[in-house]
Amino acid sequence: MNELSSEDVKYLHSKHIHPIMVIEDDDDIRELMKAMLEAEGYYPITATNGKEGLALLSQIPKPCMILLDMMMPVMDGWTFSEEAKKNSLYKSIPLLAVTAFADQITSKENFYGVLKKPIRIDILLDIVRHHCPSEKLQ
Amino acid sequence: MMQTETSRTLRETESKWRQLAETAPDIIISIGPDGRILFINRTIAAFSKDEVIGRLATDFVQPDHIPTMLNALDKVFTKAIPAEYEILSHDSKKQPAWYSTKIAPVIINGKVISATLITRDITERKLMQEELEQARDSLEIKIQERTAELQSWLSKLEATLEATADGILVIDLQRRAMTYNQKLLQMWNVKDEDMVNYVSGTLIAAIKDQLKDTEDFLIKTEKIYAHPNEKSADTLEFKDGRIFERYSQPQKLHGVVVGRVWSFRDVTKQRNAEAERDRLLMNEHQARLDAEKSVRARDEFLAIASHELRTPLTPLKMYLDWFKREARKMTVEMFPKAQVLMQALDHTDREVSKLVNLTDDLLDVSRITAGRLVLNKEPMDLVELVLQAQERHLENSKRRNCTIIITTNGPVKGVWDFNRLEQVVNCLLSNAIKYGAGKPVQVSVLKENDRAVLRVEDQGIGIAPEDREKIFERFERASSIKNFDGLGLGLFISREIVVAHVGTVSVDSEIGKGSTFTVSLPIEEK
Repeated sequence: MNELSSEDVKYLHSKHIHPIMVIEDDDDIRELMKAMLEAEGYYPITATNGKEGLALLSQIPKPCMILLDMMMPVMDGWTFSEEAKKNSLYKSIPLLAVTAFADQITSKENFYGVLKKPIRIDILLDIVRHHCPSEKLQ
Repeated sequence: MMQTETSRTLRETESKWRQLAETAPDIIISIGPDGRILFINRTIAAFSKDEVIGRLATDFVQPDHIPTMLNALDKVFTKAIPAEYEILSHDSKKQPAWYSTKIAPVIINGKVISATLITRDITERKLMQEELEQARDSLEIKIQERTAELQSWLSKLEATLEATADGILVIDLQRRAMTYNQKLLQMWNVKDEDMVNYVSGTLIAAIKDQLKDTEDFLIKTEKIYAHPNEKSADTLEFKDGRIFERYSQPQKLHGVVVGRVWSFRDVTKQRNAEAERDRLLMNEHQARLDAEKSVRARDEFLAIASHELRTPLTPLKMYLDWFKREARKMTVEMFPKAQVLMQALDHTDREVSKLVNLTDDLLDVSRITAGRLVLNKEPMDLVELVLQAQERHLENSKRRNCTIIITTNGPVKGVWDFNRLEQVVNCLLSNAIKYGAGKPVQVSVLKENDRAVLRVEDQGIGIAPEDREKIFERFERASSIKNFDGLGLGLFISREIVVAHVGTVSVDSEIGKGSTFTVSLPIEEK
């Protein structure tokens, strides 16, 4: 379970920071993304499945982007994307599908883009830069 | 007076005789010793009575018959005994006619004074006689024929009975053996003597102990006899392992049951062969099941293994990517061995990329094997895809001193799976670079009729004819081909992708001169 303290939440709200949400069940990949994004000056918030992701959405300021793994237990990426697009508050958040098999995304409607694992960090950061504020750039 | 009386009586007698003679149906002729006709009771042929009387009797007989007549007359006149003969002559209508003639002497005072001939037309009788004889003859022939036929049938029957592979037994209503063949004796281990004395039950007694289930045999047999009009078929099992099929049916004569015909067929060999065949089929079936099971197990293992291999590779590759990104920021001042580190990371990254590609290939193979290759078709331009691929292979081609020359006539658009076709183009390009011996690789993307045609032509080592089909096969075949790195799955996967697009892929090659791979895809697809 992702440990997001009430201080963290308060901080985000007080600074009006729009974090990047990373929803990924693989611990190694999730930690890598978090560390890498933090190193690049972003504010990543992580969840291990879609259900957790939805729960987090209601607590934090609206994310600038969601990096979404597709194959996950409890709630997979497809279900999460359906749920997110149903909600008028979240439907404008760009969803970036991250999947080992790009051909598993049969309908791209709900997604801003699809990245194949292993993700090329350069490409990922290029995309993120367009949507999210970075401490480094400020 | 006496004389007058006598002559009167004589006259009366003669008159009565004449009357009689004239009313008689026969021809009555009186002939004198000189052979001349004295009297005739009616005309014969075309002659009047007067023309006949006084002439020689022989004048009115066919020359052939004259001796017969003279013989008879001579007998009558000289020996005074009656004579008779039959001759074939003609009647008044010149038709052939049979005549029977009886001649009697007229004796007065011990002397033959004349001969009386009574001639009767016996043509009708003769004809009847002839017919009768003919009928009798034909009847005899018929009897002979039928007898021969019957004998032939009997001999055929006997031969058949003996020639047949079945044991045959004909039983009458008193359950006596009427007919049987030697085969029957052999099959049941009984002798001719047993059959002669065979009355109800004795044969059964002689054979019943040979059977596995005597009780069952007796019950079944009695049941069959209890229904004399019905056929039967059952199987008998012997203690010695033999198996007979037993058939029986009623023997009928004029629709009435007079007995029963039994036949016994030794089906031991056949049954054993059937059992053996069943066993072999069973074994074969089992072997196939086992093989299928092990293939399934292999495919499952392949799917699991490639998936499990791929899982840690993803973060590994991403970490490396990140390290490379961070390392690029280093200066020699910050870290004196920055250059070496960068090179090491590049090498590591390339090797990890190879691993990623290998596991992706394995995953694709297991997906194809399981029939789970899914295409995500979207409108796209094949030329654009090829140009991007050229870009991606730039570093690789430069390292091998190879130029990629692309020929197009503008966009070639269709509805295909971009990622999958990218895989195909990557595979063909990397092969062409790898085996192209540093010579230029020609790539053309053209629209030909309703098809998009991609050709990748190298001038490299070429492919031996016997390997041209093998290179598209799965790893069990591809592994035997030399000079191929890795698992050699690229072309197998490529072909499956093209085939899934209802396209074709083929290769033309000459050893030492190079190879041309041609992919043809249908354009009109929505």
